[in-house]
Amino acid sequence: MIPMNIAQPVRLREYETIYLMRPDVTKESAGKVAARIEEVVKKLEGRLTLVETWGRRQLSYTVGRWKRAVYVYFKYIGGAGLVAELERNLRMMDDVIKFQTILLNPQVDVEVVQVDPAAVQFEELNLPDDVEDDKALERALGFIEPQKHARTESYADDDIANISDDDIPDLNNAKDGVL
Amino acid sequence: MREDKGDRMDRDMDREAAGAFRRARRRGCPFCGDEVMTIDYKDPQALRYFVTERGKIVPRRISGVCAKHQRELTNAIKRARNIALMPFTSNE
Repeated sequence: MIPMNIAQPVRLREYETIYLMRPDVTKESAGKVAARIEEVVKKLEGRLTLVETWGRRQLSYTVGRWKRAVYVYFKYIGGAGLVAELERNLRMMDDVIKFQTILLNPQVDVEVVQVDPAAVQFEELNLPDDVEDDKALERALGFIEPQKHARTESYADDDIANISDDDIPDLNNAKDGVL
Repeated sequence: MREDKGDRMDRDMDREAAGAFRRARRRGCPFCGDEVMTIDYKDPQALRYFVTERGKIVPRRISGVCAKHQRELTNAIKRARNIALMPFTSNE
């Protein structure tokens, strides 16, 4: 029988997780998710080894009602229970719509692993506003004529007589510092 | 009416040519020979070659992938599908 009082060393494994956030996630909410992940990993004595933000990507199928999502990928080393705790936290967060964890290495010697401190920082999310474009596919396939030419023509047809004198700034009466 | 001998020979030659063509298409596993080609579920562009337009996994009797790599490939495609990098099915 194995004596129970001998403490077994915790076997460390290497995992990678990808989580998807809503496309309209704010910088602050994304920061909160990242902070929670760092906190959980630290609390359960794990170690982040790589963090990548892939940005907003087109999904291959709709998830909930989303057609796009912000992808974040990270690699970490941890013992038993870390993945469960991380996934429990990810599940609780409303901004996270999907996640997946993969076991990379079933046994890792933490002493040997070299980690670049710059590579384990979650990037601040700076994405342009997500504009839902339902006609994108039709436009890509050429079913919809580009609006470009029509616009230039209508611009050329603008009646100059409609512009009133009030629309033109009076340079003589300009306030200090303008001229 | 009896067939002309020349016609029959032409037809036999066609059949042989078709067989030779089929045999010539048989190639080795693309992953076994090439060290650079790796199977990674995070690279859906590389995996796209091994699924049909509809999104189904191409059988290895068609793609010529060896059994070991087909297993890895199947896993990778399923993982990519799960995280929405690849479609489960597509009607386009």
